[in-house]
Amino acid sequence: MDVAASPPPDTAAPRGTAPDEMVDGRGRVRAHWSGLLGAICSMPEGELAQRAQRLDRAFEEEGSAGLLPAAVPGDRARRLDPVPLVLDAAGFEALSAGLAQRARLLERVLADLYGPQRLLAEGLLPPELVFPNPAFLRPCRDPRPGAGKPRFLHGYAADLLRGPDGQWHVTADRLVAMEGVAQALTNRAHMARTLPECTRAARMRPLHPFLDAWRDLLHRAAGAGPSGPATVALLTPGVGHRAWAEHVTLARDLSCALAEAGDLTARGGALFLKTLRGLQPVRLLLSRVEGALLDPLELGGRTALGVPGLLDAMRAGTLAVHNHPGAGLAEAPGLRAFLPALSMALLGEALSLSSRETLWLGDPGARARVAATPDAFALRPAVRGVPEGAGPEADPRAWCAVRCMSPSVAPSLSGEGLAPRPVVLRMFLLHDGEDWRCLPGGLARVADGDGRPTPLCKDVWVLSEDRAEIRGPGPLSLPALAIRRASGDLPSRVADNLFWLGRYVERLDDSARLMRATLARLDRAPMLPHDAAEVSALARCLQDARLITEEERPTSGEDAALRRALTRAGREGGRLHRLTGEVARLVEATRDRLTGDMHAAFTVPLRESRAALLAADNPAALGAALGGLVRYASGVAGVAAENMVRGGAHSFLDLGRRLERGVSVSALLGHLLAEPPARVESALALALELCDSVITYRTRYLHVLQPAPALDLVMADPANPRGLAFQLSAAEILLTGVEGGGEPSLSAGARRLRQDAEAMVAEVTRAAEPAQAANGLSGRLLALKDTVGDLSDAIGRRYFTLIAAPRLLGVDTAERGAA
Amino acid sequence: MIYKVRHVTAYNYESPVEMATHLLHLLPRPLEGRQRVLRAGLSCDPAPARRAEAPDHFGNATAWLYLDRPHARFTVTAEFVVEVTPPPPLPAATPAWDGLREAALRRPDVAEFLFPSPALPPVEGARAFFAPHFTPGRPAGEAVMEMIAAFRGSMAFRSGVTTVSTPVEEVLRRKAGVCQDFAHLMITGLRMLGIPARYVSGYIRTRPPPGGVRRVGADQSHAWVAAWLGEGIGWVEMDPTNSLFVAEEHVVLGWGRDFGDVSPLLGIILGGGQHSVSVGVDMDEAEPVSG
Repeated sequence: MDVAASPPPDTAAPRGTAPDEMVDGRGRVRAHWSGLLGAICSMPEGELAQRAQRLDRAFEEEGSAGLLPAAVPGDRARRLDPVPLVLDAAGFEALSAGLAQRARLLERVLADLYGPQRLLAEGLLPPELVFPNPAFLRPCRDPRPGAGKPRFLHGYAADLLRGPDGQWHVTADRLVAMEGVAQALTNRAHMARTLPECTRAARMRPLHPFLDAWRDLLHRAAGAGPSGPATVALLTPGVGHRAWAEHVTLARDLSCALAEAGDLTARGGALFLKTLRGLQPVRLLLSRVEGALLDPLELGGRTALGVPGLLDAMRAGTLAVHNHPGAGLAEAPGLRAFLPALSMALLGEALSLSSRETLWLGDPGARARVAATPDAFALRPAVRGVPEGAGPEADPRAWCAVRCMSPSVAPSLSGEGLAPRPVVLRMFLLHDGEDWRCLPGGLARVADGDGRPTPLCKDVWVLSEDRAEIRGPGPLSLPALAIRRASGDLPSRVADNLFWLGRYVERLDDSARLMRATLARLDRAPMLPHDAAEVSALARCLQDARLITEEERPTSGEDAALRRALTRAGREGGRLHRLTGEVARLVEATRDRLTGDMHAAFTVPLRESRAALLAADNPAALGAALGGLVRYASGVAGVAAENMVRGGAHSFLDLGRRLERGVSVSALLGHLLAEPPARVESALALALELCDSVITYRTRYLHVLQPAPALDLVMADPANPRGLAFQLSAAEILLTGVEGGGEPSLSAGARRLRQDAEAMVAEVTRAAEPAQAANGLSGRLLALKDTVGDLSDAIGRRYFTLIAAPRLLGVDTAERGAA
Repeated sequence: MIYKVRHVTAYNYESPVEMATHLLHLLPRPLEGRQRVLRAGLSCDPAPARRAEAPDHFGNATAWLYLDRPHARFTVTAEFVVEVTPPPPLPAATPAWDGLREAALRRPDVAEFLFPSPALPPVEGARAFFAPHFTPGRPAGEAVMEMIAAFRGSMAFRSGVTTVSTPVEEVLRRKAGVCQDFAHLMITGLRMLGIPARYVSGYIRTRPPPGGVRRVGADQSHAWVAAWLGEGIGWVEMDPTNSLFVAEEHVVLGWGRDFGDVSPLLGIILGGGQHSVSVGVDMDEAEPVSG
């Protein structure tokens, strides 16, 4: 008898003979598989395996594979089998009717347990499955009878397997996160692209009407506010969560704002999203966070994942939450033992789709049955969160037994051919306001030898009997939208992340250029005094960029420490490595603002450069990897420039880039001009090289290098995209756009900085001793660098300040009973 | 007996709080045959932008206050008058304690208090501490009477050695604490023995009537235990801190599984910096109100 915590989805070790989805008992291919099988058989040998590789690549490019494995655990190895699971029309109808009945039943159970609790009073359900369950949220209980109470369930997902009896059995009811629906939709898109001949040949039901109905339902339920449709927000635990990609996709497909708890605030009995324009009311929250964490004031969760006052907004009737925070109560595995009786009592119908046999061990008869054939059952906690310490012997009421059952098998690509592998199925349902409708598809997962799901999944095809017309929802009638061009609705957190993405990509570029220039000089043999002086000037810049420490700067020709430091910067834990990680994190965090192509352009080359940096074991390889980073930064800029609508998201990405480059150029010039006036020429040459302005200078002035024209090109010429003036005037224009006629102090600040830079160049032009004058600018440029940094901070304060983190008060204070 | 209670809680913040939400369990609940609420009211300074009241899952009076203006000080005052009737004495015959679990499981409203709760996980030491009084088949009334009598002297009342989150194990180790610790200890022990037990929050009269005994307490919130002794007897309140069965010196605010369910004042604030809090409770006998 094995004792295990419930693994998702719940499949115990296989027992009995598994039926085959494709082949019947007499070895004949079932009719609904023949089309697919025919299409596969008509492919040339090895073709299917090649398609599988294409699917793997597509997943990788889409980033489902994850750039930072640690940040998105479990997501990395996700793969799609090119062979789908096929369900025939009749089989699907039976399944969807059974699941709809089950969803109706669970709704009734929840309404009773959060209401009059007659099921407990009448002994139809033992109190052990309710009161000790941490998902039973007492503040949601309202025993008063009354119509018009909100529904508990709007969505429902179930895990199923087909047992040796040939019937489907539910192994888990999922009422909180319902993960996988976005994955099912993505899988279908990949299948259609990669195996067009198979998808075209099959008369399968499309998935998008389900999605359309869902989107309509959400926006219909949210209703319209005075200034257009009310906001629907999808609440996600955040970028580190394993289902982040799912949440991004869903938010986009359902036209929801993707929000973390910190983006939301409840005030005066209503919920709001913090955007650049201020607080926007949220009328409907599609929650992907566990109910018990949603309101730290009333439910005692951690404040980071919930919004204090959320339950109050629900009670006030201004906010609907899908599913209701208390819905998780009905996920309890032990509840499945009682569903047949509850179905008779509450619906007056027999339960048509059975659960995998579940016995609650609080019942002595059940204990005796399990004791008689202990190997046929696996033991699970009856509710979640039961202390593992109290075993079934000590506290049988906290445990249930589920019958071990091997799932049916379906063909799966194995090497070059097909092999039967066990599959488990997840299906998704939506309440459309009148009844439950089932996604005609789903997510099938291939299980391993022990019946546990592997990361390999399958698309699920539901064949249509005839070409029945596909019934979609009626068009949603909303008032005509006012034309909007500004993007004030951008959530503050998104603007913040884009701004820092811009800054970090630029910082990566600047760091790579500095390192590359240094490496090139260290490579020269023999190194002339002139080279050594340049290396020493570069080292100051490297130290300013925190790529090396002061001790690693070369002293009297000894540069071994510097060489080691440069290699180390790209290694695990090095500054450049950490920068790439930070960029990757921000790309993930802003993923809902990037198209698939953009996301690929932002991630794939970065992943390659990161790997090249780690592998670089000689200066040439390091130089090549740095070149990759420089090209990556240009690629990001180009893709953003060509694909992002101006204003809003693009403004902040660009603003970050401009300010960071403003900081780095003024730092660079400040350090280079600190060289003694006698060496001003080499300092200027270096400045032109690092500002990518050598060719322009040569075109304009041939080979005569003088301080005034050189500084004009890198500091005051507004046409040089690598020069200081360009950054500051671009920042001024962007800030003017973002300010939209409001308080213009920030754009004016950028303008003043540009004027300062112009004035500095003018002084050098007028000076009798330009070299001396240029040298004198060093300190002022370093001060200018700090002022650009201050401007960045001011932007953060004005636009990104999130709602202050709420603090819990009272539990630890003198309010405690002192008597 | 009629009591007038005034409970003032004042928060002083280092810098102004921008917004606050408070969840209060500060008003008494009426109890058939035990406590009549003659008058009750909450006042709050500054005045809240919004206020809501509703019974919670346990039937306790709950109030929410929303403050949306910056404020450096927040005072909430609960004032009420209740009439307390002493409960009937325990009947001579009570059911055996070891059958209570099965009986309670047939009563969902009672069964809830059999299970561990967020602040009170099972603690074997707590069971062992009370187990000697619960010999097999012993009448429940006899067992709890002995338990309450024996509790006197087994623990030292000492404030400042524990906090609201001190676990029961530690109370057992220190053999010292305040009313809340003793209530938590006894509840844990009773539940592990299969006897439903709940946490009762309220007040106790500390100024003795002429010729009476002074009770322990600092004119502040008090906490005690109610145990369920079977159908027909129901919930019996007992005060471990004073080693007695509750008669007419205790005023009930509400009850829950543990302190966390009936915390008098919980809040969420934005801003505010450091804060200090002061609590003052006055409980006096009042003249019977005519009419």
